[in-house]
Amino acid sequence: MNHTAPLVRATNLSKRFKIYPKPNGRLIEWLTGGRVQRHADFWALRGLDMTLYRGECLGIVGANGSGKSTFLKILAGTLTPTSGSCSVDGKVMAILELGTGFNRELTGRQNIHLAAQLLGIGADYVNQKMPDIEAFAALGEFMDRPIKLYSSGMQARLAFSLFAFLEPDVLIVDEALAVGDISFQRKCYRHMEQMIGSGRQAVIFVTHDLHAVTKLCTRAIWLRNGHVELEGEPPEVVERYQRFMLNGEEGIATTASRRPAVSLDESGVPQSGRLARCEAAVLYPSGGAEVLGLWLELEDGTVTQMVRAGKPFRICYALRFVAPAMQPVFGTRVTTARGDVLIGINTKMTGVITPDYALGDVEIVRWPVMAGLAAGDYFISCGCSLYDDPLHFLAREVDAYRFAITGAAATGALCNLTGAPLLAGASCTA
Amino acid sequence: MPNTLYRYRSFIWQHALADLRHRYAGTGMGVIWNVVHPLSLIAVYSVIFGLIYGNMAIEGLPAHGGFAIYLCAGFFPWMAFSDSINRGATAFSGNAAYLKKLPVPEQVFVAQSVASASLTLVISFCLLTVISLALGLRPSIYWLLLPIPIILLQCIGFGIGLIVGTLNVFFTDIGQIVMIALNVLFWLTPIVYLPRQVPKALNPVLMANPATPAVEAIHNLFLWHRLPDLWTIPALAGWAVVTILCGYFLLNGLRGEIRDVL
Repeated sequence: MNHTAPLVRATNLSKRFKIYPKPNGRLIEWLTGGRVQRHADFWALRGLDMTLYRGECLGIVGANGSGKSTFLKILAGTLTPTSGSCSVDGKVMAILELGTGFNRELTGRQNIHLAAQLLGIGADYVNQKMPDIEAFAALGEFMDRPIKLYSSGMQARLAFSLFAFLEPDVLIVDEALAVGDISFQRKCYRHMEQMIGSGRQAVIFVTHDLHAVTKLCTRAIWLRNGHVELEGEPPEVVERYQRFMLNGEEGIATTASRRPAVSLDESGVPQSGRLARCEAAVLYPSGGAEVLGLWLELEDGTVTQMVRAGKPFRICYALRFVAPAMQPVFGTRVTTARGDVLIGINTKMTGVITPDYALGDVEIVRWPVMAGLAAGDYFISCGCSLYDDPLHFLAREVDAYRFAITGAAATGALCNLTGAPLLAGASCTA
Repeated sequence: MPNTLYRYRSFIWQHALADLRHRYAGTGMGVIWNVVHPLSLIAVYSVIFGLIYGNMAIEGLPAHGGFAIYLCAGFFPWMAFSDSINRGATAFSGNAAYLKKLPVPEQVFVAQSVASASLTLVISFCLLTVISLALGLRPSIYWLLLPIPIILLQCIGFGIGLIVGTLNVFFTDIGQIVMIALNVLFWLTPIVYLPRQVPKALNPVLMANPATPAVEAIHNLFLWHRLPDLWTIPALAGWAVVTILCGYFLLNGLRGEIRDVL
């Protein structure tokens, strides 16, 4: 229970990769003794500071390319830092890039021995731990079958069981659980909680499942461009990160004042706080109208990028017509990341008669959302089509905007109840 | 470096064994192929050089199949040597999965290539011994010395493997260059021909080839039951020290970058 000396201490850690655009660039540099430079530097880490104590679970969040993997590889000892130092007072085991470290021809059991040899762990120790590993992995007879017959989920089971039970001082779990089935994930989380609870071990948990970070981790850091952007309590770090991911730099700025004053331009579109188009967007060429912007409004008209679960809100978007249109149909759709359509609605279906529009007209459509969406990330599509031919789009943006519902536990369910469940009370007359 | 290799000895050994077992994984006869391949080579050479090329007689060797024994006695060690280097060249790139995931020292994978090539050599040389005895070659106390030139040759293979393996991470053309160089070296080693058939002018070229002293020593010990020429063993030891040191310094200098590139 020694909380005074850090288990891991990274100080001013930087890592540079040399990028050679042409394969013989390096040869030219070598032959000229470095006088001719043919590489570009890529700094994956820039001055990262971090400490980890026993009994902690550190969550690391960050976009792709923020330096997470590089940092973990330095921790695991496979990459050497360009400058700065990283000291670990114990054994680090990393479940990185699952499965690639297994020999596909060998059985699960043989691979456990092999991995132990590679990690410099004695055979006696492994034999002693083998029953625990087997029981946890619950692979049955597959334990003695070659890895090439395993599904990716089975490989995940083997990898987690192996690393978790060889009792590392630091266990690095990097998106490794995503491929396992839910009940195994649950087991893994419980095991990690035990590891942390013992106060002897520490876990570094890297995932895009932000809810898991808030639930499991005792501390979180947000990596951005190779340095720690923010460190602190998991809910706060996750929220700031989420805000940033939804709306870029603006997201960081708006954290200062949660409710930015809404300033509207002459057509009624808010100047700031609109959702940015996300990476998943599929934008179709304009057929007579263009989307000026899409935003979420609370009931009181506040523009927001996140909505607490259970709060009614409105999806709003503004369209400008670049050609005259007669009674067009407006539509919108809300889907999950997996593509389940939760809301799919248009003005024709709801019996709203739209007017004719002339060139240059701007229309703002507001869709009140009453659905009790559960916490999670959602994607909005919006568009406008001809009245007679709903497949002839004047404007169409599919999965173009992303927003988050925050709050209560993400259970994997999509909807919430409107209130607490009711019990009639026991009526037992014994 | 020696202590890291010692620490990972069981991994090296197990992996080399697994190599032997799994090279023919999925085939009907499996492990047996490890024996069939050298056997077929011995058979083919016996036929070609016994029947087609006329039975070239070599003094001190059985009249029938004598040349085939001579050829295999040089060819099998050469195979192990060139296998070590060829597989050493891809030792890092081929084991990128391990190197990227675990802090295993790089040289372990070169050592594993050498160990697995050496295991194959042990099998094929044992077969050769049995067949040679059957053909009428007398056994000899000098055979007990055979491991010395063989181990030294494999040490050179390890050193060269470290060098080409490291370079191959950065310049993938190295693999191709190595194959061509090995082919040239093969014909510059007295394996298919006898040293006395070589024109005097070519002799220094042959002697500059590290495989020549090893094959010469093996021939002397195995076929003619006499101690190898005095110069061969120090020459081999010298080559081994120089190549391993070069490989060690090269690897140490570039160690930090290898895993960045893989």
